Amino acid sequence: MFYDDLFCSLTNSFYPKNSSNNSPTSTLTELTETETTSKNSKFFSDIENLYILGKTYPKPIDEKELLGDISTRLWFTYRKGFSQINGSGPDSDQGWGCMIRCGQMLLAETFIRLYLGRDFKWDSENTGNPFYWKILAYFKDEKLAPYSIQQIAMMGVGEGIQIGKWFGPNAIAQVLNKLTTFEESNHLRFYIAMDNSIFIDEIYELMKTCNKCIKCKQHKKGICEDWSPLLLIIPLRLGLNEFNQDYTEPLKKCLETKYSVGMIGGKPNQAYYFYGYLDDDLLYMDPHECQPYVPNFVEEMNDSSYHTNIMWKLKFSQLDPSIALGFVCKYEEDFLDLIDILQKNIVKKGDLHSLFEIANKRPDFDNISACDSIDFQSDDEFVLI
Amino acid sequence: MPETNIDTRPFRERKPLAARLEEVQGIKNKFPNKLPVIVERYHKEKSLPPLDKTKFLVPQEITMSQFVAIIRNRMTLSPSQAFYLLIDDKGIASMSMTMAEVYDKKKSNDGFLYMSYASQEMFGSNN
Repeated sequence: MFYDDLFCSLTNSFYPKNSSNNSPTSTLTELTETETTSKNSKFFSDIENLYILGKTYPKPIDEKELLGDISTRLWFTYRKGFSQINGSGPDSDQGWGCMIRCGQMLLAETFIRLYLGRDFKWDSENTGNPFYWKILAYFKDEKLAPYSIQQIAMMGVGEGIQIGKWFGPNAIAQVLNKLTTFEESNHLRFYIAMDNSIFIDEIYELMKTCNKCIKCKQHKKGICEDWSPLLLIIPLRLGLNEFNQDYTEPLKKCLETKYSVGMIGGKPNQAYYFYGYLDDDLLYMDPHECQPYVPNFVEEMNDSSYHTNIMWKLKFSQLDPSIALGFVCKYEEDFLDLIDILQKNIVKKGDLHSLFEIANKRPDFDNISACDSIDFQSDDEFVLI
Repeated sequence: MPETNIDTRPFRERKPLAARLEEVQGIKNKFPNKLPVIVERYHKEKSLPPLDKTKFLVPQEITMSQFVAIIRNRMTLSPSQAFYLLIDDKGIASMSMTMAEVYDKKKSNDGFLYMSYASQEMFGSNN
């Protein structure tokens, strides 16, 4: 089965003990489900369009279903009191780790989609699914966890980001990609579409070249013959100083796609993980609440601080222009379907400001270069290309 | 810090319109098939290096993606580094468009096509 194939290192240690009695601790001004529901009744009835991770909520909106959907998402926040990064570094990421947390949320959503499915529901009393715990364990704030704050901060140094410094959407995507190439327990492949361009042949190339994962050791000469789950990330800059609102509609279209795992970005200086939209607002998870480090949460099953039922909203107009979109394709058919959807709904040929582009091959640049500068009746010279 | 005489204002502010018009006219007479393009660093940009030159004469038929590759090369950026060439501060130009198409749509009244480059913003707070 797919599960066994992908989570090959799944062991008993990831199974939670019997359901504990601790109720979800409320560290925030969290409302209980019923309170939230009654408060929001009017609010829900005024909604025109609501999409959560590629799933639409037709009217009348099923509030219970919606809140269950929100609280299923993994919510990663600043933490304090974890083991010091690199031995003597910070033991908290408050003030600098928000984009890291958003990257973790996007990646966690990717794993949830791949291994638990879009319809998976988290239940604070009884979450017995071992794959859920496996996913959560990937992101423990412990140096040995593959996508921990410690691992990310250390790997960030290779991207020119010193420990404790801020990340952008592309930078966190690059680091998560690197960490994934060292992680043998999943077969995820990243394609980060630089320069706003997706080249289909490069994605097929990526699928073939693999020599580390357990699945591929069964293949000849480390060549992969099968499709591996793909996380397509598209880092963008949609305006210089501020978000260009001409991009609102194409962004909505991206979030409507069933392959969407949301996007990372924020408002200036504050990173958010966006998982959907509601009319003119983006919906997001806010990582800025600093919570204490949770030791051994898998065994104790105290995962309530990793979930929230709060729906934060941000007007599209307040979005910082630097973002990265995420799409996941479990099978090749999904990928072909996604490309088809993007080409029909988002890529606008001949439009000056198309959100991004898709081409079969990367163009050939061999015959073009910048030659010598020429001085031409001018105080500073032209570069002749 | 030693004092320098380098004028860091944007090209458009450094030079009066008449001088810019004259410059474009001159360069077009000499290179009728090339397009005059100004490429400047976004003033808040911190991670990308400044370019040694701001004025480019570009063949009409090359695409935006080829032009981006040339600029990336000139700055010796790694392929994984974010780099965006924005037009009118609004957004990236479609990468498959030719420079002639972009120039026709977006050239300034002085005859230059203006572009700014930037990477991505970093996110965090100083408590």
